[in-house]
Amino acid sequence: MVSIDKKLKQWLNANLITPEQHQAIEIFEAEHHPPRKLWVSIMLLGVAVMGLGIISLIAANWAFVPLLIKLALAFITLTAVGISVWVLDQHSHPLGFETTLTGFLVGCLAMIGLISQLFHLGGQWYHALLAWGIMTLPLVLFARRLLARFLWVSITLTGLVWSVLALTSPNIPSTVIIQVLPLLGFLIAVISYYLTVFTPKLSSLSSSTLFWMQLSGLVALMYIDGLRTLGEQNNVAIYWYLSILILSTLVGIGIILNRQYSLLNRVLLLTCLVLLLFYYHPTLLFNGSTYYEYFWSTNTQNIAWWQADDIRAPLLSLLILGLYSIHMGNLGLSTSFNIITILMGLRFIVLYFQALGGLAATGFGLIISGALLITLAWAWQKYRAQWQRWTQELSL
Amino acid sequence: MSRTQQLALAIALPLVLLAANATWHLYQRSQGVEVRLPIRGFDPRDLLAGHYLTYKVDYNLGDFCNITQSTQRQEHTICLEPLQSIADSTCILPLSGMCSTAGFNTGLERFYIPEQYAQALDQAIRDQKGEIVIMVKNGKGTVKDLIIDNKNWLEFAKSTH
Repeated sequence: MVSIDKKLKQWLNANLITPEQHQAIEIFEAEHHPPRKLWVSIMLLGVAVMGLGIISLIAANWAFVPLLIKLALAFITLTAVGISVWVLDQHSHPLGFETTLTGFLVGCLAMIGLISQLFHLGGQWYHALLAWGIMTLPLVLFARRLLARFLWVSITLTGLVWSVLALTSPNIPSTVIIQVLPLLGFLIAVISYYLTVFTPKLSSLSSSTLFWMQLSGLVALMYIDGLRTLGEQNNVAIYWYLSILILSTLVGIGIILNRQYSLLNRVLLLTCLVLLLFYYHPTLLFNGSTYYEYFWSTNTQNIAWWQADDIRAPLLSLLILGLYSIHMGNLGLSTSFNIITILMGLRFIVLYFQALGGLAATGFGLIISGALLITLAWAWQKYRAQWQRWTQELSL
Repeated sequence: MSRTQQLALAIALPLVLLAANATWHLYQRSQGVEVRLPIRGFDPRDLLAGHYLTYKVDYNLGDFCNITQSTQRQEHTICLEPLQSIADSTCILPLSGMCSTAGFNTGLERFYIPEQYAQALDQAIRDQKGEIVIMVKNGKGTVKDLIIDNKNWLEFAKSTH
């Protein structure tokens, strides 16, 4: 309210609004955003501090407190928070409701940890996260703000991805983590996104799943780009290829069924997906040889530039990013379009340093590098809007 | 169903599930046959992982798993009474677990401890003074206690502190 009062005075002084409009807005804001009840907030703070105190007491003296008392204390605290969630909802206190709801969600996770500790359970952390996600799903659908929903999606997705990785063995080999995790995480994030888009009851979670889908996609792309640029080749067990193919098929079905997409969007996204899968294939497009010599790489062989992994990788990355930026621009999502085009520019700069790394250390090289950066920034600023307009007009 | 009722159910669901889980473990702890088994550390790995000790249970049966591939896992049941590496129809007290390259694991290989006693307990287990007390019923084991030098772990830790 303070900020809107200040703004209203500024607008009034600048003659942007009339005194009547100023008064009308003040009345409207007072009716729709009543001042928060300070005493309720202080009470909530008190409850949170008491809860923290009880948990601290249990944590500090847990070896000396009998098991049943520990359990009872923890359950009473958690139940009290749960009741607070319900009471605050009944009294239409959105801030208090959201705070206690988030506290209750975190408390449930802490309770799983406490039960594991008290009974010396040898379970895996990712199974605990997944179990938490399943049991709190109905509750998180009542959240009105992003924080609780984002927290839930982030934790549950982590649990889900690692649980899938551990299907073959609970002690996940580090090679599987390194080679499979980025792509598997991305594919699961995409499937989760389409699940939240296609299921009306889960639609409130779609902004969080969209975030993880885009972030994990970029990570999967950057990871495989780096690996291929270094001339590394990965080869994982056949069942991982099959799992990735099955998940990719589900992603493809999700793309085709999404009614928000035009035919052009579908074609663009499916092409991006297929290109990313080609990227991850150990031998289809890559042979482990690099054209340039890096201080960390000794894979250089006498091959044509177009056969080298460190040339093919950036070209493939730029192609995937380019197609994805057309998709984003076509949908009118300016922020994502800008981010993707910036990433394309960055990849181009990295390619320049790949090719002329040694030269860039000289005075002449630094001048060229600076000029390149200026040119790219100028071109981005000048042609970005035109490019986005062009992508928006495209159709199939 | 009204929104208020739906919210009440959504809050109650995790509480009920967690309470049921805790009650189940309490029940498991009080059921079955109590068995005491020696435990060993696996040098040079650190036995301390945060607030818990990790160890291998010595069933006095040698290496019976014979698994060589790191991705391979196989369900396996041993017999604690009479002691046999494979439980057959004569077995009175079976214990089920999973065979892998890490050996035979039953989920009993973890014991939570307060941090201030960690070093003393870690050393005691390295010196092969540790035993766990488990409750076994229907092939499933539950950790009940940790014994060091024939004392409850807390008594032992206090005496060395």
